[in-house]
Amino acid sequence: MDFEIAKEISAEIVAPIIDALNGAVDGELVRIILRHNNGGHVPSAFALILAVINTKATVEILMDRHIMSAAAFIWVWFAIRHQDNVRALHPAEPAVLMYHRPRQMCLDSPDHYVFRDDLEETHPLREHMAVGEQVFDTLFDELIQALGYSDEKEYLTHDGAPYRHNLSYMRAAYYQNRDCVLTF
Amino acid sequence: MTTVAMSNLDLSRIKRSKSNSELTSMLVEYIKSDERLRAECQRQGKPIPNLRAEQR
Repeated sequence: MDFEIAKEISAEIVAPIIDALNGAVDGELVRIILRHNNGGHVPSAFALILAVINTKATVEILMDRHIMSAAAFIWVWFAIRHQDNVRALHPAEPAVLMYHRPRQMCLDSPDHYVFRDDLEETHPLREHMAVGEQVFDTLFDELIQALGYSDEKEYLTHDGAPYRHNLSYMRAAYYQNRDCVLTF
Repeated sequence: MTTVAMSNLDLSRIKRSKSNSELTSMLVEYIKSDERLRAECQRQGKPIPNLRAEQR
């Protein structure tokens, strides 16, 4: 059974996939294709991940062209957190993955975001966003480690110049709430 | 924005700080927190966060 998730992640889009995963029998193949997907609703991405974790099906998660934000999070989760019945496959064609910390879009303007760091201690969204941020941060740290980053490799001195690992620059950008792009 | 080429992932390099069960518990916690937030917004008659601006 193939499910294509194009353009965005939303509760409506993931609901039939979650139903299929919950009802799947042992060994049934479910393919989830994330195609030119800009991300979207983080709780829906999390719900889909939980359904994949708990399914009896064999699941393949594919990506095509570009996947961003919540869509990227789904692919990275299964690329980093191995599970016998699930495979996050690398794309066959050139593709781009964009990962960043979870953020809340302003209801008055899609051009304005807020990150947890920007909220005052007492703001009701702060505690909520902290949980999502911890999960995104954990996975990001594991991703760059799997790509070759470690504290020991951060700097390399050559001819008197302190060269810095490219993933160290990416890590700094990520923790400043900037977008991180990985190319395939 | 920074860009890095994605090479093959070597999972043996990862120093895990959280187990699978800890992380999945956090996914559940976040979903429940979102539901509470939405219910509270609905109770107060406020727009629900996480909807795109054009969906209001």
